[in-house]
Amino acid sequence: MTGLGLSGSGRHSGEIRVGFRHGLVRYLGITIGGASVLGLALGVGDLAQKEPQRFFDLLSRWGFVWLLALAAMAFLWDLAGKGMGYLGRLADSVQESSQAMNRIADRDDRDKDRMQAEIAFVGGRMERLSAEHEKTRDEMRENHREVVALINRALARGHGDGNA
Amino acid sequence: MEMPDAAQNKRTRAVIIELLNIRHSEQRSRPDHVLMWHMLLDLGADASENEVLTLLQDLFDRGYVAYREEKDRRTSRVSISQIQLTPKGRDLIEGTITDPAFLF
Repeated sequence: MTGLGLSGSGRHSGEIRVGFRHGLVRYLGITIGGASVLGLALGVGDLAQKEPQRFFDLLSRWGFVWLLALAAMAFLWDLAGKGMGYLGRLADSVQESSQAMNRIADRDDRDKDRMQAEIAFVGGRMERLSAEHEKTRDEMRENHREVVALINRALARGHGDGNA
Repeated sequence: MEMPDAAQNKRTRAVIIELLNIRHSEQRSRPDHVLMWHMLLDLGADASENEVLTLLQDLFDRGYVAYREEKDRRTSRVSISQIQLTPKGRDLIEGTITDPAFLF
């Protein structure tokens, strides 16, 4: 499996596949094509059985051009089938690419979402630390003032004692 | 003297509550335990996935969070989703109530 959840062959397993190759167009193509070939074969067979004279007349009148046209039709039909298959695969790959892009976009959104929450958290903690730092500094300033006052008082008392 | 693990648990509980509060106040989607675990790792918490699950269950038992818990019967793996703060959790983060089980 790749990081995008695709299997080794590039297909994403376990999903319902709705696409050109698996949809209505493919169904109609197979049905209509098969029915046409079957109808033509049955018609020719019926004609050959019921009226062989007319069948051979028709065959000799049309000659090899008729057979060639039939072969060309079969070839073209096969080519069209291959083309449809190719288009179907192309549509499937585009669909898979768009699914992969969606997954990447979703993951990016989740990462962004997660990082925004983390930044907000760190910001909140920084504000709290900063406030505590301010409070500690104020307390230290107050303590410093008190210590200086105490020293001054002690010094003044010492000078007074010396004078006495 | 407090046990180091207990202090770490208290800090991690507080971080979880704060993260949930941030997500709630910004109207973000309710996280699952994996997202919560990754956020904790990003913020430097040394916690395993199971530890995060245990802490979330503990917070649920204390009434600070609500979530949906599912257990895979085949693998016995527990997953927690749609985690959100309860009114009691918001009271805690706003300082309306205090709890010694949290170190903010």
